[in-house]
Amino acid sequence: MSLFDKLGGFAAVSKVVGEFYDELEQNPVTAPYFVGMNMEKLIDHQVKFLSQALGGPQQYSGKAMNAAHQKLTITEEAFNEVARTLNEVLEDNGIDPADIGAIMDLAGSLKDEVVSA
Amino acid sequence: MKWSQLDMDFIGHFGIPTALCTEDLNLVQANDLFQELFCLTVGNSIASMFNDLEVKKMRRKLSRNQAYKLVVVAQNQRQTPYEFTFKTLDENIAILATDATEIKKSEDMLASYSKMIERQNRAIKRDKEKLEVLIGNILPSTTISELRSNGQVKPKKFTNVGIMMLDLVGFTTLSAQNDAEVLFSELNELFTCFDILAENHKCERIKTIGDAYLAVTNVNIENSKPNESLASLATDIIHIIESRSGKIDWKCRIGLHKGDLVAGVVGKTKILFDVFGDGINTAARMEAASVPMKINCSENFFQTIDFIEHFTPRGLQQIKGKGPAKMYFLENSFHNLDSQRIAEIVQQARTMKSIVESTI
Repeated sequence: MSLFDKLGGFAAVSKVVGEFYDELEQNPVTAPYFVGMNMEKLIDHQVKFLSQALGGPQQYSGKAMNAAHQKLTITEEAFNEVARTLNEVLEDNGIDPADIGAIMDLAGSLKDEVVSA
Repeated sequence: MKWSQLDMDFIGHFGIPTALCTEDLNLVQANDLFQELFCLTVGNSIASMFNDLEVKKMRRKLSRNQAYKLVVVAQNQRQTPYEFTFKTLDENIAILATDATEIKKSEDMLASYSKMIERQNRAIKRDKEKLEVLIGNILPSTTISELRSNGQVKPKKFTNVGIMMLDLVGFTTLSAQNDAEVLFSELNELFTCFDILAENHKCERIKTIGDAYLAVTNVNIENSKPNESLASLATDIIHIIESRSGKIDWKCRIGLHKGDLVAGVVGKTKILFDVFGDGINTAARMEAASVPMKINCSENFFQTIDFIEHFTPRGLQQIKGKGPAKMYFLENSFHNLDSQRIAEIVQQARTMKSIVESTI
């Protein structure tokens, strides 16, 4: 069984992603990056990306990680804040600690492609 | 700060249940609508009434001056879902509830459709896996990989590989004498036994043509002792035919040869992995020149083995279209299959489901 199925499929992933962006938009460190962004589209992309990364259906057709983040000049502080928030949202949703570890490892592996400032 | 009763009633007038609670989550103010919908009165504890309330998370969010949200189902007849927004208001916590029927409906619909699609995806995945198993039993794995990457399979030449050709003696007569169902069932069982033996000896069955059975070594399955394996397969087959009990008294002729062949995929719709060449023809000639329940080997096969004590020279024998050639009988005692093992193999063949039965 993939982690995607274990978490509860598309509905569970979309709930987590929705709460995740809700937090990021309220966080003073990360909120500036989302000004003027189409959040619905972003959330939709992220749900597809995360679902695919967790072994769900292959449906992500967005930009590559570095191409999608380069113009945003994301700082290491902002990246760490995003990672901390993701961890928190996963915990809030009662995800198994071992699975959170796997997801955080995946997120951590994207750091070099995302941080550009 | 507290709201005035006028404020509370004003908000309530627009159908918005509103309340105020202390940091300890005890209700200090609530408009009539709130009290009516959630069966709460001033002095009640919010925490004890709402089971889903995540107190730790709420406190964390409120301490960051963020709103904490929670969906609560009202105690009215419709059981309307309401989204509660908790926000710090001076020393108290303000609660504003908004009708979440539409949001809940969308979420439920999303969850339902997601589950439906995921179920379909799992079914497609299962079918795909079954198909892979089925294809894997029709074509060798190397051929499937080549077909996937190049869209075609180039024929390959194999030199000096072991080839076994078997033919059941008097099949045409047996067909006329026996009920078709019995004949087919026994033939199927026999060939399944041969397949089990071939797999045990790391040999590969290429095909059956009517009552003929063709197996090779080192075409798709690597084998470090191909001669010994092929000789063992042939003698085991003889033992199986001799020992099994059935309605038909089967007998076979076997030919062994080492030679060249070309392997490839033939057909566009009814695909078959097949082998051709002089090696195959010679193995067939060896089989034709054999006698019932004997294994006849070519000079090429004999020259490459290191167990000559198990062979009996036959001298020069005529090969159709090729003239005289040296031949040897491989003694059936070369490899012994005990009666218990024979019974096990026959039982396995009888109970084994066909790949089609187990995948469709």
